[in-house]
Amino acid sequence: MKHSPHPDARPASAPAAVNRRKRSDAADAIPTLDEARKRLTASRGRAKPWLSPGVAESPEEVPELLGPEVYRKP
Amino acid sequence: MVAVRALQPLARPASRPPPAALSRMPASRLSTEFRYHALRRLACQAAEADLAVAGLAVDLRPIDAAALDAFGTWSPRRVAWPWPEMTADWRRGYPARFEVAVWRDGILCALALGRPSPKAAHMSLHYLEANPDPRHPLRRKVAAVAVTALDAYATALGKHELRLVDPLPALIPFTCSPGMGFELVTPRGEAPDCRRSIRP
Repeated sequence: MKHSPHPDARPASAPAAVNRRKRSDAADAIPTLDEARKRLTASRGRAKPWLSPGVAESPEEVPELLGPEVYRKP
Repeated sequence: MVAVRALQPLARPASRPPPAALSRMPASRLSTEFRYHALRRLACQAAEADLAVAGLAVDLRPIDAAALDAFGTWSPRRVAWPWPEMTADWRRGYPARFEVAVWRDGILCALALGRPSPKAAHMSLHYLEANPDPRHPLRRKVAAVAVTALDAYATALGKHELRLVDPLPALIPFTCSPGMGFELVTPRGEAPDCRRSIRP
C-alpha cells in the first residue's frame, strides 16, 4: 500500500513546510481589529483637505474612471 | 444618442449569503478572508463617518451580489471591465484587497478595487468606475469618496502611502490638485501613478 511520508519527516525546505511557514507569516502580519481601531482613531486628527471645505469635486467633463484600458487578470 | 434610463433604487436584502468562491476556500484561507473582511468593514465605517462630517451620507459596502446586480443596469459604459469576473478573481488572489461598492439613496454610484503592496508600505487603487448615469447622486464626488475609503483601509492596515494606478490623463490635474494632494510619478518601465503620503 502506498502512503505519503509523515509530515514531520520532511526536510524544512520541502514545499509543504515552506507553504505552512508562509501561511503562518501572512496570518501574523494581519493587524488585529484593536490595532486597526487605534490607527483609525489616531488618524481622526489628520487633515483631509479633499473633504474640507466641502467634498472635492472632479471636473465636469472628465469621466470618473481609474484603471487600464484592457482588463488584466491578477 | 444613447438614451439613459431613469435611476431606480434597488432593494437590497438585509443579509447576503457569502460568495460561492468562499465555500471552496481552505479553512486557513477562509480565516484570512474573514479577518480582512472585518478590517475592510471597520475602515468603511470610519470613512462613512468622515464623509458624514463633510455632509455626504454614503453607504460603503463590499462588492456583493446586490452591487453586481445594480452594476448590470449601468449603460452606456466607457470601459468594458467585467466587474463580476474581476471581483471573483481578486477575491481568490488577494485576501487583503480593497473592494468597495459606493451606494447612496439605494443607488449604486461606483465600484472600486485595489490592493496593498505585499512588502512595501503602500495601498493602491487599481480600478474605479462611476455609474455612467449623469444623474447619480454622487456625480463628481466619486473620486473623493473612493480616496476616503482607500485612505481609511490603508490606515487600518498600517500603510503609509496611497497610489492611484493608471490614472486617466484628463483626471491627473484634479488628482494632483492641492485638495486631493497626490503627486504624479512615472516609474521607469511602468504605468504612471499618483502618490500621496498618509503619514500623520
